[in-house]
Amino acid sequence: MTAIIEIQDLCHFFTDGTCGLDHINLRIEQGSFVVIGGCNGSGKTTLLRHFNGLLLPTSGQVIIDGIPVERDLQAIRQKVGMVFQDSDNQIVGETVHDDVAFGPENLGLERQEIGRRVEEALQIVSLSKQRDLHPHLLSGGQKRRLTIASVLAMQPQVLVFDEPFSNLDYPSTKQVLQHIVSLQDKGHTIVLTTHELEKVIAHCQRLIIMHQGRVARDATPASLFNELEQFGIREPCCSRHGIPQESWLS
Amino acid sequence: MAQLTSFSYRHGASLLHQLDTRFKLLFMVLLSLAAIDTSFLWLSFVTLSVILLLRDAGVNLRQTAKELRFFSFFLLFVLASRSLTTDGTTLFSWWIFAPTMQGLEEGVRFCWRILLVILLSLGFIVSSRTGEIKASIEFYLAKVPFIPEKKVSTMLSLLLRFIPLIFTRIQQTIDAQKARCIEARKNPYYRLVKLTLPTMRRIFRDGELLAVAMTSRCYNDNRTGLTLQSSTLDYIAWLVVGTVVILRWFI
Repeated sequence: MTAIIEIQDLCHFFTDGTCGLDHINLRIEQGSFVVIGGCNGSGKTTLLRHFNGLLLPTSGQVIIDGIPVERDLQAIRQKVGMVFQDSDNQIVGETVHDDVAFGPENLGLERQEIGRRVEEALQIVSLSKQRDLHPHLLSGGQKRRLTIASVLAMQPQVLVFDEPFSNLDYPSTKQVLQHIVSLQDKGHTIVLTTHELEKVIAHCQRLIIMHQGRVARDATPASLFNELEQFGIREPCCSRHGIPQESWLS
Repeated sequence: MAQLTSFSYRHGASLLHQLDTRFKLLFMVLLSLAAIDTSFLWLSFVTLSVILLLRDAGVNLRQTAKELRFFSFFLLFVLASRSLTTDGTTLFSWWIFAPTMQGLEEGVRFCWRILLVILLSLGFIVSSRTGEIKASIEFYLAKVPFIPEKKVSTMLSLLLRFIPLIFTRIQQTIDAQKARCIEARKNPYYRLVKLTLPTMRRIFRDGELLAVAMTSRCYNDNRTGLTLQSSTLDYIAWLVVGTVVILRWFI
């Protein structure tokens, strides 16, 4: 399969000299569903921010769809849509419609095309009826879906989710998961960070475990179940009780 | 679910919502200027009209008053200093304090004017989207030489976008401190410091996160702007506001 994301010997040092990422080498195939796990401070979010060009490598290279990230940040940010952990800090519009339109407006598209994309994105995440509401009046799950729609309106190939289930109740988690799975079915590449593997494990093909800024493990989820606890990740119930894996959507 | 602060945009179809943002901005500036040293009759008429328009736009005036309660200390301070420092007929004398009738009148007029400006701004903010405000500022600044209108309008619209967030953060910090019995501390300076520092820290952090989120969605100066359109209603409103401003010199 074609690699949409290629990371070559990526190192990232913060301004205070702390090492955030230490010699990362990865290759993520187009259309795949990859979960990046790890405890707090393991480097998951730092890695994700390199996919979108929000952080640039201290050394090494991140290549998205054949283009090195630092060469064309605008094009990279259009290809890789990022959904942040805290929805409130991602929402910029005064209404749901305005927030979704923000990205396409930044791309300099025609008004008609912006309108079409906004309606399509809102329909995908089932928020068409809330289009005129103030985003801060939405529930936690609706806000998360809004942030997904706002990224979808830019028509990215890769969708990067940073802890998408944090602060969500059970029904909202299921709704968001349903949307993420259907986006992969439509051909998007999904990269998602979480420390709650239980929720996504049945849907992803690959699990990357980060530990102290390094890739500690990279394999199929089932093959890593027994090693998860040593990296601060809870072993899924199915593995602990020896029962078959079950999707949260079933 | 959250509650919106009064200084947030609300979607609606009120008279204020129907007006072109460029006209609203102009009206706000004209009425604010006309309110300088004017009569109480003019102030009463304009204040009443603005309150009716705000109610029509769905603004909860009781909530607004509650949110602005700390501002009233500033107004009281202005009122006291004006009445004590302006020459005129002494109302009463106590120790070194001798407020005058003229000073009190001046103070009330000044505070009223400030309140009117706040109400005008409130009407503007609740009925105008950030994009519309940005487009309006750009429209006016484009006529001024040597001013980068896109950059200035972006900065101003972002500042306006941030006002409700600042109010929310202040309220959250107050609530969190109340939960830890801050009200048991009687020293206002201590309470002010304990409120200001964490609030400022959170506001700066929010600003940084918002900037990162906007960058990730390709934010730039050359984005597709909103096309503003004026209608007959705007010109009728222009006529009414113009008349009210002229009346300032006669009543």
